[in-house]
Amino acid sequence: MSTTKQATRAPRGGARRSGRSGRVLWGVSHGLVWLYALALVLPLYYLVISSFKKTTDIFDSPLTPPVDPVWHYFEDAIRYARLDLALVNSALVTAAALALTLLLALPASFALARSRGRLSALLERIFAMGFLVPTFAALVPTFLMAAYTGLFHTRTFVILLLPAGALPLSVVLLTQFMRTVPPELEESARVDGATTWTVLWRVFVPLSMPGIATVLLLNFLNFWNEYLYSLVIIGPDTSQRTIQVALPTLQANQATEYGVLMAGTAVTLIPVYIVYIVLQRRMEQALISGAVKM
Amino acid sequence: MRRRTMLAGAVSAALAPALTSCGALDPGNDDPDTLVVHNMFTAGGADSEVYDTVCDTFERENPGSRIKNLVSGGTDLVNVYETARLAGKEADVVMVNLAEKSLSWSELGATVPVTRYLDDWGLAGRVIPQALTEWTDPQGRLMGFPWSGFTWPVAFNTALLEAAGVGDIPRTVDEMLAAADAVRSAGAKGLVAIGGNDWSGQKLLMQVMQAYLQPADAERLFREAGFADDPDALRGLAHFVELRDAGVFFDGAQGLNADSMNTDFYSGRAPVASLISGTLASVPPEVAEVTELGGWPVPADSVYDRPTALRGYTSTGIWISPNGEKKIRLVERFVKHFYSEETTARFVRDAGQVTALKDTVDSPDFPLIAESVLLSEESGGEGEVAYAVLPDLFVPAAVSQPLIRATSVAFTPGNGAESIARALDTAYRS
Repeated sequence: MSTTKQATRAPRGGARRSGRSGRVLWGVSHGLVWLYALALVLPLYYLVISSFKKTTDIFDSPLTPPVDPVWHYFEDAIRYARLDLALVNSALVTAAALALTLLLALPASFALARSRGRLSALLERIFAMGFLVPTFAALVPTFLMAAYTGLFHTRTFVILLLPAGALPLSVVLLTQFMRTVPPELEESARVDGATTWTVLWRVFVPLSMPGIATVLLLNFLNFWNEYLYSLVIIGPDTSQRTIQVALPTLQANQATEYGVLMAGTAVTLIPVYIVYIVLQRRMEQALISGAVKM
Repeated sequence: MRRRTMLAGAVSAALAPALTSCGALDPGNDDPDTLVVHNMFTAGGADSEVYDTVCDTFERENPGSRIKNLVSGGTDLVNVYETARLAGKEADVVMVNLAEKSLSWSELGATVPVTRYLDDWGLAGRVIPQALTEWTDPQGRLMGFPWSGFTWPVAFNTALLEAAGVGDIPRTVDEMLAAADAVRSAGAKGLVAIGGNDWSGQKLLMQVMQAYLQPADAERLFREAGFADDPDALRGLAHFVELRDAGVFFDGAQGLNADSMNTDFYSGRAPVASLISGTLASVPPEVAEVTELGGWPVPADSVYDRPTALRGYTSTGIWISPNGEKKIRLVERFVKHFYSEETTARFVRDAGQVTALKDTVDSPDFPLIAESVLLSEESGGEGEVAYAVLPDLFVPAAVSQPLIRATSVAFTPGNGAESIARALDTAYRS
């Protein structure tokens, strides 16, 4: 009897101990999550409050909210660097490059996802090798190509260039998503007389929407924030330059008004947040579906 | 659906102007009546406002001619210009400083020497002789038209010094060491605010090091290195270490930069700072009122007989590109317009610019800049400061940034003269 009691008590004590350690673990993990979230929010908070502070206040008390906020820095930033024009240019380049990326990546992924041969596996690996090309290594040949084609100092060249860099990731990601589409769906569509184009457009694309959203978001961030090629290839012409090229012109050589620079930086982030909010749910779906599969 | 509609609306609104008014994707800079000027007058500064006004005046006085401005920050400008030059699409005129990469532009054919244009256009008499010397390369070619320069004195906050019991600004090393002790006793974190981790610290280090170097030797060292093998350079660096270890510089100077230095001085927390004229213009009036300018004190046995400062006429020049030479008549009108007394006066008066041209006017709105220009003027038989050699004209382009990075070694406590010299020499081998 006593043995039985001991036997029954032991798990209770263990459960209590495991309950305590579980609560400790819960507390620690939540603490770490909050700490990480704080680490992510802190730069954003600093950016926003600094957009309303004079340079001396930014250096004096970096994390203190503005006591005497300066409201005109946003207007100054937009006016000084013509951020309005730059936003339009960035939107044009990013949207056109995204459209071109999808236009090329969707059919390529569709073909790779449906093929089972060794050749397709080899092709897929070749696509993945695109990751291995460092950005700087491609700069000189890219510049020469731009000069040779007569597209130097144009947005057109960058619109064509950005998808080239984005295709490896886009094709690899989309191929994996399209592989999850059951073959029976394609077979039944074929039975109904669907062409290859119809199968892609009506079956594969709708079912790959989370993947497409992921590719769109990742590429949007890359395209929007692209600096080096935009600076070198498009150049500093106000009528053409992108937002990332316009922004550094708010930095003076010796005495920068950091409030204006911070306000300008905040302006460049607004479209990023809008696009993220729009695509967030689809991307989360994609990530969750990936997790479930694992 | 609503979200999709909103996204479509937002994208359309963003793209519509680009696809209609700015439809052409190539700006086309080949118009013979349009002068493309690549400059670093970043918006928001007093000089950029004056620049815009001067460009407007030019267009009014030259009907049919247009100036198209491309603006980049300093480093970006050089890279963008050089790449554009390789593609044959560079701007007609570049307004940038003479330092690092631009030192080799004439040699490489990236820009056109302007020696004969200066004479042909009758502008030689307008330029300060020292400016012409600085803009002339070893082959005797004038690389660009000198336009603006800078002064680089030491600024003393007399109110802070007086509060610490220092009645007069230090003019000798002993006075400087005593002032450092006094301000530290009064609770300051040092006497001199400095960016020990960037260009501001590098210039001060080089200035202090020159205490025992003849100018010709300093030029040779800046060009070729060999600091560790030069006894006079080592002596100068040992003097720097003495100052550093005596607490002259702000605590943690090796991690500070020019922005923190400026902020400390502007907010009245720094008793002393080495400020270039471009930053003197931004000193708040309440601090400017109690600011006195001078030089950096030198040891009694220095090769200089009085405190030193830096100055130069290399801040901005007007360079002509090979594309610009094809529009040389338009370039001539532009350069003459910028060299006119009216334009120069406007830049000096309204933007506090230190000009490379003669017969300039005062800038009453920028009293510290006016005072800094007058520091070298004869006063009672001699000027208040002597000018040390500015490294920028001699340090090779590839070395410039590594040398600036090596500066923080000098400001780090514990490093002696030899290890600083070795760090500087290493920068030349990187």
